[in-house]
Amino acid sequence: MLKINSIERLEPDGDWSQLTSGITLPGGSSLGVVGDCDTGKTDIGLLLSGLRASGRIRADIHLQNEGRLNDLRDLKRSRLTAFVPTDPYQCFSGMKETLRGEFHVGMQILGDVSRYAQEKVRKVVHAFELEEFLDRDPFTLSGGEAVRAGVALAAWKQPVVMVLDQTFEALHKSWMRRLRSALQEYLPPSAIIIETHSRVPSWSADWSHEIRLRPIRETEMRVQVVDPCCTTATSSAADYVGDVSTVLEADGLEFRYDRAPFSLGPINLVVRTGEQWALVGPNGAGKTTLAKCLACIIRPVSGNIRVRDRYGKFQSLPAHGWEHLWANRVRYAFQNPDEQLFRPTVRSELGLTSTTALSSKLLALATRLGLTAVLDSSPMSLARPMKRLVTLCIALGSGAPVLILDEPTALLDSNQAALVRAELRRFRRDGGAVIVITHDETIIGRDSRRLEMRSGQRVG
Amino acid sequence: MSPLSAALSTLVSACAILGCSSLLSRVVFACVVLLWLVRRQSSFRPLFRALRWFCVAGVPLFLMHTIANTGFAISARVLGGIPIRMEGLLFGASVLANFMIITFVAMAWSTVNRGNLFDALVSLRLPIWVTIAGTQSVATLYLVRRRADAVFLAQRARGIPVGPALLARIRAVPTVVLPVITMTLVDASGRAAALASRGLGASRVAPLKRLSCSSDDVTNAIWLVAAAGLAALAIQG
Repeated sequence: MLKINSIERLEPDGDWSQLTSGITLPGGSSLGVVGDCDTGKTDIGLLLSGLRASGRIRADIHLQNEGRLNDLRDLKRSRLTAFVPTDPYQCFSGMKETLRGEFHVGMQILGDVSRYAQEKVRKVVHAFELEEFLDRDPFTLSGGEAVRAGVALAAWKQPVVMVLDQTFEALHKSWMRRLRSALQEYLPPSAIIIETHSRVPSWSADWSHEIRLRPIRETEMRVQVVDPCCTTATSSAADYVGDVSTVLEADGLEFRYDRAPFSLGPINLVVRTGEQWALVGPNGAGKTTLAKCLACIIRPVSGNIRVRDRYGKFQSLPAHGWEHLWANRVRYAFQNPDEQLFRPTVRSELGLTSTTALSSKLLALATRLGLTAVLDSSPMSLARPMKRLVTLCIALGSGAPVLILDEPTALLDSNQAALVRAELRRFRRDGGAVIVITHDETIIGRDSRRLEMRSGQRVG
Repeated sequence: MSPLSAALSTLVSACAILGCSSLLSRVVFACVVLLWLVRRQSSFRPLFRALRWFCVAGVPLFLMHTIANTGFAISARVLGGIPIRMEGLLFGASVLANFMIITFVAMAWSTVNRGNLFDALVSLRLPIWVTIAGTQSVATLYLVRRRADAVFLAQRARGIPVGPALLARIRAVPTVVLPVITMTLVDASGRAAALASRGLGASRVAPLKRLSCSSDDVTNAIWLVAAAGLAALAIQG
């Protein structure tokens, strides 16, 4: 039994405000913590797993028969609790070269290399269907595969408290529920599962307890959007732009990795102006690989890609060494925003240094996305969802006719996600085309075309 | 290469750098080690990579002492007045030989499997912080390299010119280095929490394998001792 006496948050005015108090979680119960961007969800998750958090959240949590959670000795704490961070790759120590080795490290660092521990590992590998990845480098797993592996690495020891910090966002919808049921099947019946989310998931009714975090401050920049995505009838590209013409063409696209037994294609695809394509499929289907090929981040081994430039002429992939020029035609926004930000301020990242017409257009875009308040902040200091909005703003304002967005609404709260959806519709109305890799049905909507993938092949 | 062989090559190389007083002995040692590495490698690719790094970083040092270091007297002038300093040339060659030996050691460590290094450190029953510091340093180097590759591609996808001209590559360095440093620092806190939750650092790590000496290690030791012996003979000669 876990008893949460109180959780408090340090507000910008210097006062501590109480977020919740007096919650008792009996064995076998589940708790959902839901809050917008930057409300302290991760810190709460860390404290609930007995780890240290930043100083802006404090909590008084007791574990039955063990005392105060934060006073437990490290070894005991790591046996009783488990924490899975938002980025599942952080679960991998990197001290071994394969996922199998990572499980061995897990047993070794807890000092338990007995047959019983090995049997537990075998069971968790089976429950999370990881057999085929055991001899792969965990850092080369796709997003969803890494989530399963990360959760399994935390769960194998059968902890009493298991905290999942926004872990489900990169998972295919079929795996979202399967992961929960796999956990319930593998963990002992008395285990307490705690999930943090930026948006209320569809299974929230299954939670026995819920904490809703209020925003840290209601900023004047918070733009409320009425999202027509789910209410409008099916629309076509012609509803967005009058003249529908081909903007991107992929013909017989194939790709193979040197060291992984995976091959993509051949894939044929025609994208027209005003269209939104959703690349969907289970984890490891090759969605990101296809998107990277289309954006010339990796070069296909065979096949052609052509993009219509602003003068109406089709252009093929650039020569080796000139791949950056492709970004003027096809712009790719990575799932991890940290990889694409490097300038001292958000303003300079967006190129808002002059007073040209382009700058005013970008400024309007940044305002609509709620970035005005952070224009002079360092992008490195922002919360991850805000970084995500900055990279999306850069892509939307780049002038490229085709945007490829990898999980654009992952980690965003519902309002931020609605802002992004509205901007994507505006982009398509202005003659652009969008390709999204996503598991978020709200962004796919009814007017997206679906490219369904499985094992590197287009199946629909 | 096994961690044992890499450690032995480090030890013998350190002795060669500190103990070989003459240039000839260092060159002899470096040549024998080169022969050993050529014999070991099934592919010449890592060797060429090491030699390329050696040329980029070591040759300018050599030229600087031979031509520009005013601490040495000018012995001759060539090509219409470029000074040649013989003492500087010998000193540069000596520095270059040391650099070559260090390159070989780095190359030897770069071939060590991370898992084997972890097992070796654990089986030595060193203090837990030494084991964690050693293995996490190697893991972090691997992660930084992967991250640098990812950031390079991400910046190129953003339209930042990262080539093909050398100047473009040099100008792109901050766009890759800054995100890599920031990401490594940001990632460190999340990674620390995740690994602490798994139990890293909580207690002594239980060994799965015992450190053992393979026939390959014996062969490597023979080559290294032979290199050191020939270098010693060169000193006497």
